[in-house]
Amino acid sequence: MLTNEWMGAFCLGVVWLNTLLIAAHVWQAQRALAREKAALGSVIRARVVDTGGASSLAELSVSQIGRAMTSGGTPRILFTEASRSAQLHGGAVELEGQRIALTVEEPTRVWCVASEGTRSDSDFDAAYAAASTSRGHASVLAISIGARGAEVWLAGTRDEDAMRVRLISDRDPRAVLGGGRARAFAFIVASIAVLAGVTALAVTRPWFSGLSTLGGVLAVAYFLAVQPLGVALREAIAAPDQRRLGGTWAPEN
Amino acid sequence: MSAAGGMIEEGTLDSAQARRRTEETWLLHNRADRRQIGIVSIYVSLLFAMVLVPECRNVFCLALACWLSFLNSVVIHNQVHKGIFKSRALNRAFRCVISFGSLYPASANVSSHNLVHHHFDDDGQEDWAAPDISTFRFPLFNLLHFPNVAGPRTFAGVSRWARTTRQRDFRAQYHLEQVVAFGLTGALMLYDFWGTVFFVLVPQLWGARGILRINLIQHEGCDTTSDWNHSRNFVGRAFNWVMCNNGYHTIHHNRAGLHWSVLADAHRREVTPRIDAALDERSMIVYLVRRFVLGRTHGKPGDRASATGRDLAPRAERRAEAEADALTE
Repeated sequence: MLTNEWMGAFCLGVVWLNTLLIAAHVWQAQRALAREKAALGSVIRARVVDTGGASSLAELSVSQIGRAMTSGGTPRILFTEASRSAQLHGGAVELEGQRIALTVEEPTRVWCVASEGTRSDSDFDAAYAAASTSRGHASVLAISIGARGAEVWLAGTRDEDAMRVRLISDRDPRAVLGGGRARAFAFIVASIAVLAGVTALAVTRPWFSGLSTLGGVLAVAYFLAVQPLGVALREAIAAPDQRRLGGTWAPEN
Repeated sequence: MSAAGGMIEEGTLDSAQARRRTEETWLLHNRADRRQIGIVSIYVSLLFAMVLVPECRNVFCLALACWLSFLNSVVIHNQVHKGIFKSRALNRAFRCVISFGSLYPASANVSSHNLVHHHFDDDGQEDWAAPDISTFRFPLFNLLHFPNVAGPRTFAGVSRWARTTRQRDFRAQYHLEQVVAFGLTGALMLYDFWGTVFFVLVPQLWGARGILRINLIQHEGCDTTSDWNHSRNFVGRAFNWVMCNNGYHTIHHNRAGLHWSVLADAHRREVTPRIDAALDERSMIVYLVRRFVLGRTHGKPGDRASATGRDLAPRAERRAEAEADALTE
């Protein structure tokens, strides 16, 4: 006969093991962000003065598949990302009165954290009709950053009045990565602290009644919740060019 | 078409119809599916027995329930590819029962398995349960942790897909399965919370998380761009008898419409001559120990010299077949 005591210990062990694995996976993610931060090289915040003949310093093109939403309400199209490409043009920026000529160092990275995109198509009805087929509606979301006069963050190798750029961002990349690491640390501490509290409640005497049962209920809820929270956090703190871009499109009234 | 050709085609058609007639019963498309009904019946009975009869709360019954729960998830997989009953209503009711068995709505497999996993990354949309989503250096940690990532990614994806599906009644069926699975489990918890957590929830989650792990076991180190080396197979006969031939994964991907009962023959006929021999494992247990405990690495699979994909329908056609199966049930 398997007693409640044995099974309780086993189940708490399973919850702890999985929580520690989830925390370790998040730890891996923050280590990756730390490596990214260390590899940024010189980071400057500067004003764009020359876009090399293009309309902006950089463009991000995200190919998406749109599908008509069938869950009621107004017609909308739900997009999921299929692929993306980034292009960083040469040009020049100005920093404290000094003009810095930019050259591109491959592979180029473009981080769009706050910039809005523009869709390649504007006829919602036609797009909705295509999105209602099994193939879906192919659409390209183009996001530009670094228009003339705008402020951007550039990371790369600087040599006086020239810079080889590896990354362009519309937010400070050090802050983006640092913020992600801070959230990862907070998650790790919180997930272990909450489970410690739930465990303490579950092993309150008398076992398997009253507060102990409340602890059991919370332990089940915790186990079911910590997994999606861990995945959501990893996706949220990933470097901006590794986050998949989705979104919906509804006709304007 | 020549007269002789027509006669051969008619003959083939007749023999296919005759074979179907011998396979079917008044209730089932294929009599082999009695095994699946037996698995689910014994499993659900065992869960209730462990809640209601304290003498059943022992190591043997719990281990058996965990094993049957995994098989229940295999039944979900097979049922969502091809409903086992001739009656649509019975298929839908059966989906509710097996949803309770694994504590997730069986219909989730329509999108997560049939429409997404069977595509791999061919259509630019990521596989929610791709083997590389868990990245620990020690393989055993990946095996343990894999469901913690694959599960949430799968259900987020299914929820997204459910908002756009044109499949009639999908959402109603999906919600009904959730109500039955969570409602019945919740009701049992109200009756006996700890007994249900220890002897119902543990087996349910073991099976649900086990079937997610199968994605890692069957595809890690494989070449998903290949026609033959995209999957690892476990070809032991006894293993496949109890697993309803779930070990033959390559042929299942290539011909998703084949009934599970004929996969062994189809594997020997079509896959064995073409697949990298290293991807045909005799024993899953030996493989699990070798890979996840001892940490042996995979070599990159290569087609056999004689391998060609000439007699295999194009992948897009095979994907369409999987989709058609998924959407008709």
